[in-house]
Amino acid sequence: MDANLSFLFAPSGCAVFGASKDPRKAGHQIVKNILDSGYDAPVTPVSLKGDDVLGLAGYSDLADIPHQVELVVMSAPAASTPMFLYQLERRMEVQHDVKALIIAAAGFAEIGTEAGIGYQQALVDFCRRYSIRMIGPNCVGAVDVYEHFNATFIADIAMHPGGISVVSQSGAVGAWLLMNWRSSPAGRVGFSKFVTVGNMADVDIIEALEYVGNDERTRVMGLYIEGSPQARKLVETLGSIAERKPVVVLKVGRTEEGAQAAASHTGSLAGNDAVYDGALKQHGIIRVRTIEELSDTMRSCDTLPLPAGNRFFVLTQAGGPGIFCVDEMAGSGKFSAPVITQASKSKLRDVLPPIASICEPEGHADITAAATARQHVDALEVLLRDDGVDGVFFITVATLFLDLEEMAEGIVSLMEKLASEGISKPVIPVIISGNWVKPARAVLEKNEIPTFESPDRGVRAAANLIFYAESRRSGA
Amino acid sequence: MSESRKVLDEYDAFQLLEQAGIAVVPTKLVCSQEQLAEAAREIGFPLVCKISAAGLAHKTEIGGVKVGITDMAELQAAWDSIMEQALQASVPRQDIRGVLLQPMISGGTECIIGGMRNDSFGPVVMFGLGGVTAEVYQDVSFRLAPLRRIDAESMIADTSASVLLSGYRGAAKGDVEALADLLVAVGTLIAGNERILELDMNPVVVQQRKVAVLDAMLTVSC
Repeated sequence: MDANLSFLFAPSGCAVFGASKDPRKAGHQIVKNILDSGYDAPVTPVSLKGDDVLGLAGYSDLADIPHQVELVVMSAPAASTPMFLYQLERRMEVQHDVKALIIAAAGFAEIGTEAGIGYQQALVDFCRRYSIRMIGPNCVGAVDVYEHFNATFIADIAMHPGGISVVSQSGAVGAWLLMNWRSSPAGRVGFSKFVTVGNMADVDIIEALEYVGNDERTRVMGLYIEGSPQARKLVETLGSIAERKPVVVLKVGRTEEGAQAAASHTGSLAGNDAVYDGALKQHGIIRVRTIEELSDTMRSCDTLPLPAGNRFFVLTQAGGPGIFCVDEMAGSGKFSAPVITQASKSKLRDVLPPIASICEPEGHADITAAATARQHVDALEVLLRDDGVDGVFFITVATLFLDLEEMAEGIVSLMEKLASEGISKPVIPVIISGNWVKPARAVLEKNEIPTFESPDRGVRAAANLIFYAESRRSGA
Repeated sequence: MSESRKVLDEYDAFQLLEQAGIAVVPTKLVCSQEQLAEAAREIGFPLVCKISAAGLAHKTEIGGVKVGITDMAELQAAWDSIMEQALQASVPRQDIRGVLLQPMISGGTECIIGGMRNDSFGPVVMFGLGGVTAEVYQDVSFRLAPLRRIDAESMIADTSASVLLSGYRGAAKGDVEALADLLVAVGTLIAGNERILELDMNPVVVQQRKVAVLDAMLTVSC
């Protein structure tokens, strides 16, 4: 089997079988996404009537397309599989240029009918015969931001380059993640590759992970998975990627998989989910529980430095959210309170309002609502320069008189200045809350500093960074 | 997996563990009442007397375990009681091999160490707080076998056994080093021996200077 899946992400020419003029059809959205993503090789819509779609010349037969076609995206009903393969076969006998298929259509083996299973098998047999690689059926497709190629039918995603890559067993969960990113403060989150594997008739999740994990632009891998019959191989594959870059896994189905029937205590306690938990930890793989934690953790891994230790300072401008943060930190069991030097404490006293509460208790400063934008940034600088601090939770609540954007810009310049001096520590900004603070958060996010919706989300992301950093240090 | 399975008697399980270099509590198999006295002298009082019967997974439930036996009279009585209750519980007479004598070990933290072959994960090791309530609290952690030393240490740390073993409320600390060694050995055993389907070592008592495996059940394919 050809291990090269590159034609799924960067084909020289592609066709959409089942293309449609109707904007409500997936066969329309796929053509639109490929065009909108700035793909510069030819795209050809193929349909029964050979309609033109979005100004592109349409054909009624794959075999008639005059230019090179390395990838075909199939979004016609499953029942058109025989026609699809008939056209594809004629193309392979003459032009023999197709290297990959994305079967976006549903109605195959996943519905369990004899016809559905038969159509899927026919696709697999065809691919084996011509050494073609296929994802799906029943998937939403693939994206490569750097190749300007979006072959999905997801309605609204931002093609912004970054270091995150995502492999998802579910198309819906993948779309959920990418569409959420659109509503983040900056309107986008940078990523590299995205692929959903659907029924895994040919390319399975392990192969997709191996391929995407080897992508040099991928700095962090995310995986959504419901389960795998080859759990050990899956975990070991993820573990070998985690030796090079962080891997974040959202594994669901926690309650469904019961333990195997067994006479022993061990057998009856060994539910698959409990074993996943241990196996992922053993291989230094970050396990998350929600889509939000998956997103927060991947973004943090992509853009923040790994902390050198677990001493995180809580710098808060408001009491309540600060306590919230401290509680979550304690609950995670991952943090210890930093003790900063007397010099740092006295510098904090110099830069902060007189009513500020400094290091009572250690590792915590409530700078109060009297603090100006400048004072926020100056206090952050004192903390980041202290060798006893590995990271900072920076919590502030919008007040009418606090210039949040000035504060955000101040943080950006501070981080640049410190980076130029070789000081690089994670800062977790939590700016509360809602639409009012979005412009300030956007300033940070456009400068590759992720912001967090709430202290608990920031704490979980930071705890995951600490876990990964520790597992790398211990050689796990 | 549909191969046939066999539950090994504790005595056979212990022999297999010892061959694998895993130390178990000293154990004498006694097949007749006449041999009781000599075996008891070797083990020494106080001692524990347990039924030894092929394929019997749960000894306590049928009254097959007597603990804290301090003299020969009590031991004779224990033999009689165990044999009578075993027959009442319909343990086939030909399956009963006799009794096992072991020294009575008191104090320490009761843990469970398990191993199993999972359809999807292959060989797996489990650790947690043991005793008969192991399944109630589910205070256990898993790792894929074989284990590195660091895996053994982190799976201990994952459970609240680690709190008890670190000398909770003035209690003596447990020998975590020896416990980690034992976990690694169990991982090596289950990873290297495909016939082993399930292994329960419960309880494993962790004391200040040693770890003692007091009971074991092994299920093998045959």
